[in-house]
Amino acid sequence: MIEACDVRSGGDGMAIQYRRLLAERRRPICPICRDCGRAQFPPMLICPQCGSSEIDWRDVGGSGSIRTWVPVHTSTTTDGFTIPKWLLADTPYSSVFVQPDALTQDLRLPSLMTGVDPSRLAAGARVVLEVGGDDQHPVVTSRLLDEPTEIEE
Amino acid sequence: MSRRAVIAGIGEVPLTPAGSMRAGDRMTVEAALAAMADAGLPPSAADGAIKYTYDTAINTYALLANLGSEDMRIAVEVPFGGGSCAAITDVARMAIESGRADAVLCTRTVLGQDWIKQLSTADPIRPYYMDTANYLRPVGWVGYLGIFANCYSEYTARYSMPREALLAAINLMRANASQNRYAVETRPLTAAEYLAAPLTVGPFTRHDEFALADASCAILVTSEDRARATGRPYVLIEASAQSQGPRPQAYFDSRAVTGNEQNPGTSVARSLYAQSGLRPDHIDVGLVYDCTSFTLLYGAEQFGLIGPGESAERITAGDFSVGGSIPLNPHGGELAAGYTHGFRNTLEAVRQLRGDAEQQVPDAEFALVCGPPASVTSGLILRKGPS
Repeated sequence: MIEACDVRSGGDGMAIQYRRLLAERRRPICPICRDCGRAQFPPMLICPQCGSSEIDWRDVGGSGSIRTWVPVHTSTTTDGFTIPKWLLADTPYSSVFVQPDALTQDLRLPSLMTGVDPSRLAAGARVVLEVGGDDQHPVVTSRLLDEPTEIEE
Repeated sequence: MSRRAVIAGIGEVPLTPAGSMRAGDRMTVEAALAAMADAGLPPSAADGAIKYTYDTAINTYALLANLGSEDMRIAVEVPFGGGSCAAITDVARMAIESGRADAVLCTRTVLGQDWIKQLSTADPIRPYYMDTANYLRPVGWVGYLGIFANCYSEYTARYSMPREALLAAINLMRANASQNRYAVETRPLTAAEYLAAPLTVGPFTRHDEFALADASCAILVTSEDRARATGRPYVLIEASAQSQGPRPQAYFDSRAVTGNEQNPGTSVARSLYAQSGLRPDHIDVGLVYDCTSFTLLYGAEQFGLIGPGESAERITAGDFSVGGSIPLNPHGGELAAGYTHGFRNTLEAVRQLRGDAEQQVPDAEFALVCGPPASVTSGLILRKGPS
């Protein structure tokens, strides 16, 4: 356990806590219920499985498998979407939803992958999970491992 | 005596491409007046109003005040985005069947440019995106296209969905829209033009997105008794349902096609078929939410109109055309006719079942109307009323 999730500070308070912990520790984390062990993402205000408010931030390890991904191919947008300003120079990039190896429960952690041709991504591809960004804007990133190893579905 | 809820009237103002500079509040009043007139009821008879939360048009109770309503008995907003499309009718049905209201207007007004502004502005109360601002935007989230690109990546890990099938979906909607009095995109897209367009997000190009429009639509829900007394044709609400599934984290977790039958779309479909005692093969026409080309095809599967993984083959075979085995969106849907967050599909369903649609499916008795196959959604099964 890293620190108790400050559920009483509400959604905004927990988001601030999340960013602080990412920036300080530089490791991907998620909330896990102290009573029933359920992991959740995004953080909820109470454990939806057992109703407990005793929830802890915990490390989720540094590796995982891609489940789904959203490639953003171009910095030219249409009326229907916008790209975060700080990523405009990084296209193509992908938002990658990763199952961390350290969790036995199904959970998809959102991460950012830059510098990789999206056509190389596939369900089951192995990634390293890290934390990038500056201390004000830390972000979980994933890096594609070139050699596919033990892909589990 | 029957308090059974029916759709007794529909109304809309002329739909135009976005940028018409019309006033959303006035458009809504005009659409509501048209629905009341279509139902054969005076505007003052409306005693309820239900709308999607997100628009820039007019409040529910202000709409009723403008219509000279004798009183307001229910005024509700449903905040689901596209998922509100059938949910507002579901809520109207509850008000009618419980006896709490007698004539409930459901409305949707979209001014395209206003909607775009809302889409790209962080919502302080995190509407139906479940805190994308804190947890998804930092990893590059781009909005609704991301939802369906995510579903697509999961879908294509299991099933085939070539770009030719997406093009066929676009062109079917455009061909259908060309038969519609009010439509935005009616020109066929060539394969060369489509394949040359740059990809934006996931499998999508600018051609795969909904057609931005200025539109306002209304329906009037009342009891079967009251509708019968007017002598006008009406349509029965055979079933209506809403769902976010047991794992409501749609934008983080688009495990859309893992076969667990616990997605919002499949949950709504199950409720609809169970309530009505019908099977998907009873449905004569599908009005399927189509904010993207893929959403249309994937929605037809999730709501049970066809089997999982079949849509690419079925669109190519022409099964979704009027005259095919399960016609979809004969008016051109949101992709081509114009974006109303799915509500205009209900008006088209009513026209099909009354037999007065522009591109009529012969002898249509049952219509399925469904919201997006992800996130928080809803659906209806409507049935032709007695003639």
